[in-house]
Amino acid sequence: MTFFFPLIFAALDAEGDRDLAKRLQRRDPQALAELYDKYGRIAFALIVRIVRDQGIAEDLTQETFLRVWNRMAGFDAERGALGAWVLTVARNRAIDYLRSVDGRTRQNAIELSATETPAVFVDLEANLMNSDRARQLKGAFEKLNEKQRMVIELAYFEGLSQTEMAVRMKQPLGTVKTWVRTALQVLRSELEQAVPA
Amino acid sequence: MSPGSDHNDLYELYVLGLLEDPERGLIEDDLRRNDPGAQALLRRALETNAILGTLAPEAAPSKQLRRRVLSIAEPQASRLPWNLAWVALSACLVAGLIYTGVQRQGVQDELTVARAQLEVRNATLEFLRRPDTRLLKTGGAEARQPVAKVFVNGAQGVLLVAANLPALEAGRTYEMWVVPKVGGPRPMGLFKPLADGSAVHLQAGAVNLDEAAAVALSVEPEGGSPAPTTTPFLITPVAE
Repeated sequence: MTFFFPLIFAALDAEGDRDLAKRLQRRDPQALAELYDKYGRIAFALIVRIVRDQGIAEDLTQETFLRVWNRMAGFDAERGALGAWVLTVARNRAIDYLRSVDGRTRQNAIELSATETPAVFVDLEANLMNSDRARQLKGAFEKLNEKQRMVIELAYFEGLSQTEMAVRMKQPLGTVKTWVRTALQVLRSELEQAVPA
Repeated sequence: MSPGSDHNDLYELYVLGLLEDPERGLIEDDLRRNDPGAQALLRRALETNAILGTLAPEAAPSKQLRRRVLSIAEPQASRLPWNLAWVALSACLVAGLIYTGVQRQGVQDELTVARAQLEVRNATLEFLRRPDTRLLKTGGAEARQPVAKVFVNGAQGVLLVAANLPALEAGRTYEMWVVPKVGGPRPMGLFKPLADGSAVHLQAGAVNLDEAAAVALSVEPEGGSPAPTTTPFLITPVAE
């Protein structure tokens, strides 16, 4: 499995993102091209991982950038984390798609949109997606046991709630909650130890 | 927010839109209070989730995708038409926009919303189009009293079209139920009405109409309830 460290490294430039965000807010088409060149492949890879279909992933990637383009007015160009926002919108589009095809009319579908509100993505670490932190997370991911890794993947890449995971894994809800909680604690603890570049 | 609270470990799931009650309610309470600790946990969760997204294996999109994405920013004028029909259509659109005073940006925003709504509308129309879908009889409608039309289809589900629904308090939602002839009500999905009190709610999935006595609504806590916790209303009998 090849990860995106070089691309992430290229996407570090927080100062560049500020300028990019301002130009996107001015509806500069060239800025959209730069945004796509910077985050398009990462967003696409994430969507493919979730929907597992190249063609559908391309449609959803286009939808992702359409949504970002249309909602730039609500983004804080000075304090906002552009990459984190783009990835969140991308993931949500893919999970929405999964839910629509498998008929999972979820009670929290509205909240999913709420979590990608651009105004939320402020004051995150400027070098959030740098290669050190991503490597750290990959290392942490490998430290998870099989069950813990599975619940994180089910949550992040399949959009399952803990109740749905319990059904899928045929395990008691309490057991699944424990796996989720400990997995998140391990990941978080490793990330907090990562030294920002 | 109390430091070390159990739900503090679950902000990542909350941000992913996957957390259920009661933990979700606890986090929302923290955030509503503008608790700085909660805000910090929210930021941390956003960070962790963004980095998790980079764990996806590498994949390369086609070159056409870049062109498709960039077309989003193209001015309408640059896409002017290759044939007369498109010219006419474009002219009509432009005239319409000028006439209504709608800004192009506004239209694009609406397009995004409309795309999301389109799937629901299509599913609704498909449901209504089916010959085996039938309309249940509802009570009389007094002015500003809640009213509803309920369509049922044993193989497809239940569609509710309601008006005059009272506005909900924060943290509350409407829940639809199928009340069987024997046993407790079966939950049929959550929804919130528009500002004017109208709502269209389709719960897809097979329903055993032979065993169903009625369709009803109740007001429930955000996230829904396994059984009604308030008095059901708009009770619509399921009868041939």
